[in-house]
Amino acid sequence: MGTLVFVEVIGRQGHVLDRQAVDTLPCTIGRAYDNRVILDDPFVEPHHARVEQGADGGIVLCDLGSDKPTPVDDKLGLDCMLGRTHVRLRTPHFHVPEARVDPFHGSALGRFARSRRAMFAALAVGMGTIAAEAHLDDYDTDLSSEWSRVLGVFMIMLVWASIWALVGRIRSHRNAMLIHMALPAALILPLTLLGSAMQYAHSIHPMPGLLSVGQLTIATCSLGLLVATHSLVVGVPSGRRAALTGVVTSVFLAGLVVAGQTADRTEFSGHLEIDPVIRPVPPSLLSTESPEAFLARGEELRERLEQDLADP
Amino acid sequence: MEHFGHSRASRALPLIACVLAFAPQAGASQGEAKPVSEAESDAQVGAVRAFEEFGPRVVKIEVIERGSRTKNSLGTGFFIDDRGQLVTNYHVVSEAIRKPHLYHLEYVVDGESRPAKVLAVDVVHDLAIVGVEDRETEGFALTDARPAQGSKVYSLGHPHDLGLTIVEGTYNGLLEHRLYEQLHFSGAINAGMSGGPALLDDGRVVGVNVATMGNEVGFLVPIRFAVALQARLRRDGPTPPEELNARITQQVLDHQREAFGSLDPAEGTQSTLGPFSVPGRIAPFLRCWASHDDDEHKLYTRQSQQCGTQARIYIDDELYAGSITFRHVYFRSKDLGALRFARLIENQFGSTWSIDAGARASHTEFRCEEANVATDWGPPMRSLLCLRAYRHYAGLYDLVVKLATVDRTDQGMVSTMVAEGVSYETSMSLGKRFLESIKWAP
Repeated sequence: MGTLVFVEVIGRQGHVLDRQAVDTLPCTIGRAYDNRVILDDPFVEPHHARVEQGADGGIVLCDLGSDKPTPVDDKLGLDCMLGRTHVRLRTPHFHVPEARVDPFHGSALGRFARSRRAMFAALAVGMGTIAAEAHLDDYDTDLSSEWSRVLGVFMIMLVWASIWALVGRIRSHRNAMLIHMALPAALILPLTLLGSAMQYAHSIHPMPGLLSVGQLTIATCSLGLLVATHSLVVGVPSGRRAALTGVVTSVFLAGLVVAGQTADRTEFSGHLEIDPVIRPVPPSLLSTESPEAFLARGEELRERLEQDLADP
Repeated sequence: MEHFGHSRASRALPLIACVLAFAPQAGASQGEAKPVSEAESDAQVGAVRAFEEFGPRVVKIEVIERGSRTKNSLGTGFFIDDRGQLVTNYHVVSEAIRKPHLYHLEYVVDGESRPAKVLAVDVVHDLAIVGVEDRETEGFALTDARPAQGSKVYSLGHPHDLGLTIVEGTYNGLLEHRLYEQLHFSGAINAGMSGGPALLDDGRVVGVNVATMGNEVGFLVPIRFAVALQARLRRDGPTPPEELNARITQQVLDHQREAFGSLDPAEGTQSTLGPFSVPGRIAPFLRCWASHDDDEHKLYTRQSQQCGTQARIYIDDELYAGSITFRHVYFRSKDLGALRFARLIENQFGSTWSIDAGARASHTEFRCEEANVATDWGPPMRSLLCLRAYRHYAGLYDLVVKLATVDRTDQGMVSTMVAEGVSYETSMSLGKRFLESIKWAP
């Protein structure tokens, strides 16, 4: 006679701690050692539940405290809490989905992406980007500001990666510091290029509002991506859950930033705050305005100031 | 750099009134006073006589906080007729004009405080006429005579609330390069003496104490402006208290229309910075300073020129009007490359020197527009136009216009114009002419 039902004990993170294939019924579950399935949980009775054949031939779980049977669905199985233990019952007919396809399976790219070499390369490219960016902001022959910027960013990444590595170690006993360093480093170059593209666009045609919204969007998306990939590395159960964590975290942080900016805007600064972006663009590409049209914008300024004056 | 520091010091000048709040701390210096023998020189006879004869015509003016009935600030005033009219500085009484529900004005004579009220103001020249009742003190004789440079002048007032004091000094003529006419007095004018008279040997008043730069560099308002204000008061009658703010706004507007209306950055003396022609000392009332940095560790050279009005009109401690400043910074790249040079220009474009942070009570925030603006001489310039409004003086604005060249990768310039307390129309016409004034030199 084949297996009639599987009794699985599920851990807190959703993984199976213990799986028993049951081929004879009834089968008792409890803390006592005469049970078929023994649960080491002080909140479980010595004889807590019994799996048996129901009146209609299906399999049911009877709580020995209540005697009321609960059927185990062939397709969905049955999840229940016995004491503080999550117990899952599944019949051999339980449907499992097809295997997930690994897009990099067997490819050289996939192997490279997971190699130490790639991780060091990502780190080097990211730090190089930071150094180049610092170099553009510095106008003397001295390289100390470039080095200090690289060091600063590296330290921040180290703290960030250490937190993730610690979480990974707690969860799966894996110490994968390098990959946690490589993940943010890999994002630096594409983000810088994307930001530069926006700055060039702003330089060609000034649109200060759009620039700040764009920068916030990029920051939000990349943070979401980063959280999701780190989550996968530390071993969350599914890609979907990792993506959800990324989305929730980034939306939460973006919300904080927007709230902070809104509060900032209502706060009176009194200063003239200019945040210009000027990039070397051939003059023929610039979208230009006549002096008259530009000064006519003074009217808009005046109207906005009228509103500011009306504001108490 | 020394020179810029110097010009900054002069901007802080007309703050005598606010210094007064700290007057009690000045008491310490009393102990250092040295006795002077009575017949030290003939010169002192003049001072002794002036003090005895004219002292009673000078009074202390106090701004009193209504709740505690305690003084908030003080200055000096003097009678100009026998009908109870006193001349003082506008900045001495401004707090009582602006916040009549919190402060009122009193004058102190023979140790007794009596009420006083503002009858007329001339905010441009920092003068006010204050009226008092039941007082028939003889007034000073006023003179518009210009004594010879080096003549003795006696300044009277209440420095740091230490009692009526006479200071002997030298008349050094009309200050040059001033938008607002002032006399140069070499003598120790101190906080609290604001609004006091400056007399010639014969007792006629030539000016009103108004400001100091320290080190015996003092400034007087020529008395003819007080005479004109008195004439206007006789003609039009006293200004009702509720109309004083509007009157102040009007005076600032009239003044800046006259001073800046014909000011054309594209005309007059132009300066050359690298290949650029920029507005230089385009009006006699502007003073200019320049600097040139060529540090060997830096990959660029930086040359700058700044022209501006020396003084500005005091409206209140947080609000000034009637100043205009031009600043041009020219960069030449030694070995920066296009990307870094553009960022250098960007940095300078983002710097906001010389415009004070406003207070919520007095200003709105700045509102700005930014664009690449076409020029008639060649490539477009990155341009920024910013305005903020004065809350209690409708129609007055602070204007900032910034221009940056964006076409060259080896040299470029950032020019800024800042005008304080100007009308919208003047702002726009100044902005237009400023845009037209920056050119490649032919």
